[in-house]
Amino acid sequence: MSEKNPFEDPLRFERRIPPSAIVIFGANGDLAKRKLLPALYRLAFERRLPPGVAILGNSRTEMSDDQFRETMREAVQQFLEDSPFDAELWKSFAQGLFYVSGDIQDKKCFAAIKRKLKKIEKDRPTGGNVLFYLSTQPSHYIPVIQGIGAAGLHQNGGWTRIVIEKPFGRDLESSDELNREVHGVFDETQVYRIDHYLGKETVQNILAFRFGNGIFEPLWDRRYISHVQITAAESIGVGSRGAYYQEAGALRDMIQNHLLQVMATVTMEPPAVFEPGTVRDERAKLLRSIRIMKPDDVKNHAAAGQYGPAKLGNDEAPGFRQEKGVDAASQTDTYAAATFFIENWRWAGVPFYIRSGKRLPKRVTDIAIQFHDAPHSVFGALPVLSRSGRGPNLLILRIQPEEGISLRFLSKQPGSGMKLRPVSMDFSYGSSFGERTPTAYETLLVDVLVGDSTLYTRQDMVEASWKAVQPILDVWGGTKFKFPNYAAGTWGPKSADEMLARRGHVWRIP
Amino acid sequence: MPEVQAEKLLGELAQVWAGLGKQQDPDAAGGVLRACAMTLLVLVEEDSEPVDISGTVGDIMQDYPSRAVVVRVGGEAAGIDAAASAFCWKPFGRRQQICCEQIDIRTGRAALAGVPSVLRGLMVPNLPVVLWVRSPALMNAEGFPEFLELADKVIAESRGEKDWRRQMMQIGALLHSGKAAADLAWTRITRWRELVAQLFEDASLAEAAEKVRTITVSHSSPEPGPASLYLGAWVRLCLGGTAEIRYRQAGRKVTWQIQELRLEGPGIEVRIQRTAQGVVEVRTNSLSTCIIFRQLREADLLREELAILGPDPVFQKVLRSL
Repeated sequence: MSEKNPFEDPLRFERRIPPSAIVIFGANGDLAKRKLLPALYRLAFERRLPPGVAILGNSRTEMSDDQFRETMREAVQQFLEDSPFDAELWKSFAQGLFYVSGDIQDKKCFAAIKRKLKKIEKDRPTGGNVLFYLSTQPSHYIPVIQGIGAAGLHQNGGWTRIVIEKPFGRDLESSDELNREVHGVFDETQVYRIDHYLGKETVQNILAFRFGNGIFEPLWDRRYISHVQITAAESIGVGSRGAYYQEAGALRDMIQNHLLQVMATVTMEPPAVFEPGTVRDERAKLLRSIRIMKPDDVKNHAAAGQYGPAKLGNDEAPGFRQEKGVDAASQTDTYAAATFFIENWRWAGVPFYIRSGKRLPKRVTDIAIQFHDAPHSVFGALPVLSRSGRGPNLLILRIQPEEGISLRFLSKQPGSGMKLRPVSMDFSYGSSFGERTPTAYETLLVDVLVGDSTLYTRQDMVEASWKAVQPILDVWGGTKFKFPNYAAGTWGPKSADEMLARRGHVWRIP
Repeated sequence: MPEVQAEKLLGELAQVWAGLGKQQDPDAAGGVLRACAMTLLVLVEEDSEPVDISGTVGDIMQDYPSRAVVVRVGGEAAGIDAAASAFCWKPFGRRQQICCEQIDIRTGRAALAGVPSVLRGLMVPNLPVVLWVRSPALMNAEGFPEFLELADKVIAESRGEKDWRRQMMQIGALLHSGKAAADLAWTRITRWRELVAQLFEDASLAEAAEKVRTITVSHSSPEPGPASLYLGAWVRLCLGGTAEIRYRQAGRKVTWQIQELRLEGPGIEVRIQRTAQGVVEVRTNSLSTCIIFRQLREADLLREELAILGPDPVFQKVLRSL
């Protein structure tokens, strides 16, 4: 809230978004239609957007303001989740939607955007504040940034910020190049690299769980934790994203960004205060502490997989190479697993196993923290707990779909004698907080509009995570894999199991 | 010695939980989850207008799972009757059924003073206790101070009471005594206040705020009522306490509804007006737009209050100024 606003009531009011204009490049694309506009409409529905907010869309498709409004209305109606569509509200919301068609390779496009912004500022009180949102293909990021700079759109009287969607480059080199171009126009404090995983309520809850309570943090280190498994599994294949996915792969698409950020959230040191700078400093510090693999290490510390065709129930699921837009001899990883080590006092020697894949048995994302066994078992042999090994104490942070936290421990089975049985103590996010949780995009859009960068990734974090995966990318790039090596509907290739078996560990079944 | 004992009720609850566990479909791997974040004590007169307390409590439970203890007071019965049950639901897309506890206590006015001795054993340990006085007249009943002692926060509503000024004073007295207390009539105007705050994010309006000379609150009832008074007083306080407040009756014939808020002065005009069911029109010097005000249910108001268990300094200041 502005310092001059005399009507502040922080106890009851949500954080106030200042009047502003949002310029979306790629406004006719999937992301804008499926995520951005529904999130902005939902914020308007919740009365979170200031009445004068303006949204200016750009793409190559020729459209008038009214046609753009109609296209967005259809998209919002189709993709709005958990909320009613209100025709009256839409009328008012749509008054703030504008459109400029044009090719971002053409200077005239940015001149037209500039003229339109000037006109909007006359009619609506945006205060000269502008948020640029890059919702285009990654290959268009640099031309858009250069166009903004050349047209002087970043100097508009109020604040100017830019949101960049992942991927932030394809590797360390291209990421550096993107950063150089971005910093030619914007200061790092104006740059918001979005990683929607960090906007998920349950990922944010990891920080609350760790640093809001006093009882877990003392156990949160190498003395008590045996290893950590982070799983992000998808049951679906690549679907219509075959062409994109073929260029990316699971390691780039999930591990380099989302899952290393999640790992950093689980393992970072507590910040002195909960402020964007301090939280991001700790995350960055942790990411820089990840041991960089040598080329020879990659074989034992990483596993690549690609799904082949299989019968799933009554359906024939195609293999990756049979998906639309995918090369019949593709070497792309649809499954990636890696073992990372963090080189600091807290985590030295603790393996962090991270895996992500398509066409696995179910959609699930969770973090399993396996504690060491008791130093001496007074009850003799412990019961077999599950496929995933002996250790009775397992803390699971569930990110999706059933968000929550559970702790497994041993309990005496009722009856005579001392028989032990594992039991689970569960906290379910949905049961204790039934209210609708905002989508990650709602959270992150509010954050960027109020200038809170806590949940956005910074240049040094992006660099550090590229450095962590670059050796794997380099080795895999020069390897001819015998793909496919796992059937759709299974938990991935054998090589991933072997990676854990070398340390006597087993992937748990989430 | 009350006829109903806390221990017996807790035993009934234990049986309810055991029963729920046994009823589970063996294929439903999720099972039953017992959730509790507070004790919610509800005090309601049963012979007043019929109200769906269980429905409202059920709505709240999904956001604030609680042990709800509903004390229904009616007639001149000399005894106390009680029963325990569970309130369960399965959130969309989840396998696990979530259950909360509800204890219903029925008593006559004459026996009300005996109820707190039962309640003391029913409070969930280590969690906050919120007392919702659904029928504010019970704040004058014998034994009410003992209910107060049990609660960390008291929620009542002055709006709708014939003697609403007295209710406001009673809530003020509670606050003065150091008890966290809320008036749902104040909660009702949060969206009006938030909208005003949002409009004044516009730098040009914020700069002109000190020029506001008159605050006009239009209301639907013959007299302003607590919500209108709160809104007018809050705006005035925020603007430094010098603007003149005017109340006037206008608009549709709906009881106790704020119809319009207008802030005026040289070079500034802000007007927020209900135009149709659920629609509010906003006009400022530079803007005209529409906002949706969904119909507020009692559960919505309670949810807002249950999120604030400590003191509410803005409310205290406004109430003191009246």
